[in-house]
Amino acid sequence: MVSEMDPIASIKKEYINELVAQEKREDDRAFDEHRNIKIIPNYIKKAEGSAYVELGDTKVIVGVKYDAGKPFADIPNQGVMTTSAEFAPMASPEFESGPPGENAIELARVVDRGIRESEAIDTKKLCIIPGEKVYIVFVDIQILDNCGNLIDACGIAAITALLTARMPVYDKDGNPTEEMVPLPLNKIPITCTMVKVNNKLLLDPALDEEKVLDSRITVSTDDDGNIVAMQKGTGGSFKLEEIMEAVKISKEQGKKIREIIKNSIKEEESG
Amino acid sequence: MKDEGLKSGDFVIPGDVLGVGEVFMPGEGTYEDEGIIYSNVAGVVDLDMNKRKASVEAKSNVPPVLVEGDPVICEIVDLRSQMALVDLIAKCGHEDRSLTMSPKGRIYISQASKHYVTNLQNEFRIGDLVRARVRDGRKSPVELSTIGDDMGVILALCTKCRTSMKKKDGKVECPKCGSIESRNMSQDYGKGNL
Amino acid sequence: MKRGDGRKKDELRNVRMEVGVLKRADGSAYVEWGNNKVFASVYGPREVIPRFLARNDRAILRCKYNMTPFSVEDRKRPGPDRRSVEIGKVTAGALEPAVILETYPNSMINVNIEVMQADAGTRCAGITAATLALVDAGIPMRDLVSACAAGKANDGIILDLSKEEDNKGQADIPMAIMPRSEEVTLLQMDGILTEDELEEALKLAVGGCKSIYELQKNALMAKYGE
Repeated sequence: MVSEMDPIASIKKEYINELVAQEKREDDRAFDEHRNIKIIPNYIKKAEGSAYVELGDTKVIVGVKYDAGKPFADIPNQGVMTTSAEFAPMASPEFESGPPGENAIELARVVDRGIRESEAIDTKKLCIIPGEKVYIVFVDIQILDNCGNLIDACGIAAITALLTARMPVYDKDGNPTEEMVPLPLNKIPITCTMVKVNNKLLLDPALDEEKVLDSRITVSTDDDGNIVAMQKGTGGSFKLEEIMEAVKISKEQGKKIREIIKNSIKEEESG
Repeated sequence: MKDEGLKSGDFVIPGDVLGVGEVFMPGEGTYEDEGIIYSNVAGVVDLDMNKRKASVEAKSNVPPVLVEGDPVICEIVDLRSQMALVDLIAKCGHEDRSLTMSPKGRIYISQASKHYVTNLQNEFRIGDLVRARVRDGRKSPVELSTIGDDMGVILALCTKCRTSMKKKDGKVECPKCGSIESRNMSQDYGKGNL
Repeated sequence: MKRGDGRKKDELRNVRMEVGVLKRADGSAYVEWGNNKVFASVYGPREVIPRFLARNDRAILRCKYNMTPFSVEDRKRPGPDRRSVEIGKVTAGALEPAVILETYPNSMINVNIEVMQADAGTRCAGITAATLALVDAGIPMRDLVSACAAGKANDGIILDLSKEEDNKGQADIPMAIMPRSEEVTLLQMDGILTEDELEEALKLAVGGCKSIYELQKNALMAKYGE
């Protein structure tokens, strides 16, 4: 996330490298272990779908809103999903107000790609009148507290928000009715991020680990264990074996996180 | 006007009355307005009857203020014949919070080491990260000292290639280009301690 | 007079407050006020950027108010609009009299207010949360700042307008006070009122602010009291 390492991080780098050499992390996690995940689905009643997610101390909210609008000319019978992220200055002393910078845009696009490429949303079912009117699904990411690994926190929040989302049914003339139905979702893609520190892959980097990383890799997987999106972020490099290791870790963790999401929604529905 | 019930150990918030100026001096965490002393933080009251002082110990995190003796982390930005100029980065133990401004500091040659120093270039180089102790935090630049085993360079950059250097036989060695340089190191150099 | 949600004319909606909810921020608070959900954070005192804004006799206080795209019925485009900028400005003006800025010359204190869900009265909820965040950051304060609106709907003067009352309302007066002195630090009004109605509404708002003050006190006590 940071190009020029801040002085405190450059001092800590030695310490974190040393820990990793001893197979340890600052918060005593295993290398392939996420921090504690807390999910509150349907957190924002004004949104059509939403989720509040804590990943360790990182806190984010995603809201889903819909609108009806014109489809893209090349896919006249498909709805549209658009994902945006704001790095609110609330969330970190390093975030400044203003239009989204490259980190915020990369975050939104990586989260978006994990969902889009898995074909989790049946966009053909988001067509109201072919060529004229389709659903536009807005996924808006809001960061409250950046304590590391925004990508995974936002990925979890985005798919949970979509799972809770309901949209109005339109009649034949393209007018909204009172009836609401769930957004047509057929998969739960999960995005997992690892950083390379001292030649080891650490899943779900905490802030200090993120600040001293040598390189970062993100892998999204679907329910069937397919890989649906990847992103190598920041500088540094990976060997092919490291990439395949990252894929394995992401698949394993994806299963666990998928269950956590399903359970949180079940709990919310049963009150 | 004085809150008769208030006693030491009570919890107060900003604006709560602590007493009157005729009885108490306003101490830490308080302010005086028209003869009345109020709390200015959320915390616990201390009414010192001997010193006749009312103060409040904040229970929240408070902005880090530099007082004599505080260890700080700083970066060497300039070396002159008689002093090293630094940017203060954080107060040790409060690294999560910015200093209340971005103050400049300086280390006089006489305060650089317990040994007699003839050339500061043998003690520090520009870009080095140094732990120093505050001698006077009210001055600008802040007066600092690196005398003491825990004080001195905690991370040195190679003057040739800017790589972090490793400690070796009382000197620092660049793992990349092999250059060997001299530094006034803290005893925990390279451990990653703040 | 009966209100849509069954409240009495001088009754607040349910208000819940929590201090110190974010880790990165130097101070933070969360306020749930009816269906409003508002976070506030404070950073600083810290270096002034841009430099020319620095004052050598005191700190400067900057305030940013923002509504998330999903906080309202129709999605709001991300980023500042004229309304947000104005609310940020009047919020800074509402908080500034209570902050002892002279303690930290040549520095900047940033207050950020993020509205996650909006349902009439977000600026009062924001000021209330921001005050708690300032105290949480240990920034010296003369007093708290407590905010609450009063107004007119269905020909009656009422406290703390709901969304429905605000939409169909005849007047709205968001207000903030420093409760110890009852000095007013935020005052805005739109609508039409007679002089008598205005006076009644202002008194009602002061009462509402004082109720909010008690809740702020309790929230600080819950965080720091033991």
